[in-house]
Amino acid sequence: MSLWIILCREFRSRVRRPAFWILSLAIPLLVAALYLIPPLLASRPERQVCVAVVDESGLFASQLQSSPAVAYQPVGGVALGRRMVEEDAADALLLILARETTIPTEAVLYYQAHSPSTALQAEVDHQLQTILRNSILLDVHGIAVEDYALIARTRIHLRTQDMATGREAYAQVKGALGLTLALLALLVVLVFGGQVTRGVMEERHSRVVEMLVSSVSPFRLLLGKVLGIGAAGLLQFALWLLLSAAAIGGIHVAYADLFDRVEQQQLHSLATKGDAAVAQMQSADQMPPVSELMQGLSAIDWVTVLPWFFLFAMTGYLLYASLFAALGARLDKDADTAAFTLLLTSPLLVALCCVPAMQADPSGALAVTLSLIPFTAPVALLFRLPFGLPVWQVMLALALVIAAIPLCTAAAARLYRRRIL
Amino acid sequence: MKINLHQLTHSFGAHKVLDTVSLQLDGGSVTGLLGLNGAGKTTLIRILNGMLSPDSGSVLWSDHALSPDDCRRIGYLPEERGLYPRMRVDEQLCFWGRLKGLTAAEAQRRAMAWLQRLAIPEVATLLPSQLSKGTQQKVQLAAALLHDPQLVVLDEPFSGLDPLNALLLQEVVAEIRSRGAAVLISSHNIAAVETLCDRLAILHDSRLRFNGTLDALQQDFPQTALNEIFVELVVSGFNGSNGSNGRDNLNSQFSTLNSQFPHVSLDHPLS
Repeated sequence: MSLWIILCREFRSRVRRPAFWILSLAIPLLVAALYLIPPLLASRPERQVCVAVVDESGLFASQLQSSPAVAYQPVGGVALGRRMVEEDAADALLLILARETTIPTEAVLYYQAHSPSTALQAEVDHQLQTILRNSILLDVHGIAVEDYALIARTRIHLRTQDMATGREAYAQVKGALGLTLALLALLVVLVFGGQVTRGVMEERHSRVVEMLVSSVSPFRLLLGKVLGIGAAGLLQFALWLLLSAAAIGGIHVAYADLFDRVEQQQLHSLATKGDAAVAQMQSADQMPPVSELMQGLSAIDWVTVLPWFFLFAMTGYLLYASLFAALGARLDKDADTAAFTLLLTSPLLVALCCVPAMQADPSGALAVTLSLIPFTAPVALLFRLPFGLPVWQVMLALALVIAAIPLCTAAAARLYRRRIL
Repeated sequence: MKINLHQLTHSFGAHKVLDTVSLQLDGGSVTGLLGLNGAGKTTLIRILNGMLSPDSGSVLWSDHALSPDDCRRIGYLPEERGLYPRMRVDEQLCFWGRLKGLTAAEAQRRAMAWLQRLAIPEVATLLPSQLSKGTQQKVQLAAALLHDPQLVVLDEPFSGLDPLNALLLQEVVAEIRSRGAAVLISSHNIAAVETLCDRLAILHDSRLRFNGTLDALQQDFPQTALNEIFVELVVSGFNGSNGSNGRDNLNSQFSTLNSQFPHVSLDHPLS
């Protein structure tokens, strides 16, 4: 009963604070803002930047294509180009140098008052590389741009499939999802574990603790505190997820035109570069296409993954929270908490550093070992979860984490009692 | 109802804080616990509350070893006062009452009754930060007494109280005694202890130097004020059998000090 009373007090005292609700609303608003601001900025009409071009090679000037963002203006010589920049008639001067070799390899973008934006540098660089490559393809190898695009687009799609179920592996998608789950678990431990440390420090500073331990054992007090703060954290986490999802959904409905417009602009931008197929090909190499991502996500066994995620995130929090409480009992100054928090959560950070190795071999010895160590399991096992794990391994890992919770809580309670009395 | 502390010994590392201390607290009586700073009073109280386990010895509640259930029948006002800073007084009292086994409704009812009794009903809905130090102390006293404890332990209950509130506290202690509860008061306020207590326990250097009624003490030290007796006992190492040795010892130690520091003017503690 005393455990329940402590739990309820901790929960209520947190949920009643204005800061709880301010944070519960502020985080989804921040997520919504992060989602909305980039397309808003992208849709804003930009000032067209004027670049004066002096092409000593004679290869580029005629092929550079102006866009709504950049206008290329070929000029007769460097002196004229410099004067245009100095008189603000142009924002920058692009000088393409001709050397003894037949292939130009150096170009300089001169500026005066303001350094050219990285977007402008990328745009100029992209056009120069494309023109040069197309020229070499055609002049040296006799391959037309259209033919090259066709070659670049042609690829063999290697699929990995489970022989028993016929399901595709989608390793990249699963890796990304696993990393997201592991980071969320780490976030839960850090944010709400930190609240336990502060709660214990507050109780020590307000000197309530002596009255408390005269009425309830340090073990129950600590457990009640950890569970109460955990319950408040769970509520806040659920609010973050629900409100963020609602905000993003709402933004999509309210700004449907904006998102369509931005998508059209991006397609237009690719088209004006005259190399859309190649660009698409390059991006395809770097990240899975949306359709593959959606297929990968739909192939995930969410009914299994989500409950395990919540179980491991919560048990991970409970395991670390008692250590955070012990930290709160030891520390006297708020300033020390950040450094010690980092030290305390270092096993989770080590597991996070091992993610590339675990992705390379999700069933390897390292991955399995880290999943079975209670202090690294919340990150290691959650990362591997989307890949599909043997049930015995998940159950054993959970059992070990759960078994470690009372041991850690009891040890922390002993330390807590020694420190406060 | 009686509580027996039997041969309690406790050390913090190499430092022995309590050495075979035995004490009995009876229902319907008030025991004063006196001792210099560091004498072991707070450690004794914490063992009595079940907050610390003794290295050896035991605490018997009537006829059995002190259990967690017994601890819920103890009301404790610690020396280091503390209330949750962001919790209203009535909610706070209700919380403490529930921790001691009361239902929420009963705790709420008793909280209001105690605030009334301590003449501070208007603070029920306030936060501790809005209260004076003395009022905070009265709220904490109410928290300690809310559940009608059978043993009440008050550590320095008079510190921070004005004379009027000190009188009110004395009345409350008298009521608790008349209700049949055992009361242990640890205090440096010897005058108040003399007024309130039936029995006296004097701790010094981890040992109990005196344990008995005030009358017995007065017989050992006729015509001597309690504060003088206390100084004599703790300075001399008196073991309760003969007070005159203590006075002689004190005089001898004072003479030694005077001879060692001839240019320093020292006041005799019993003058």
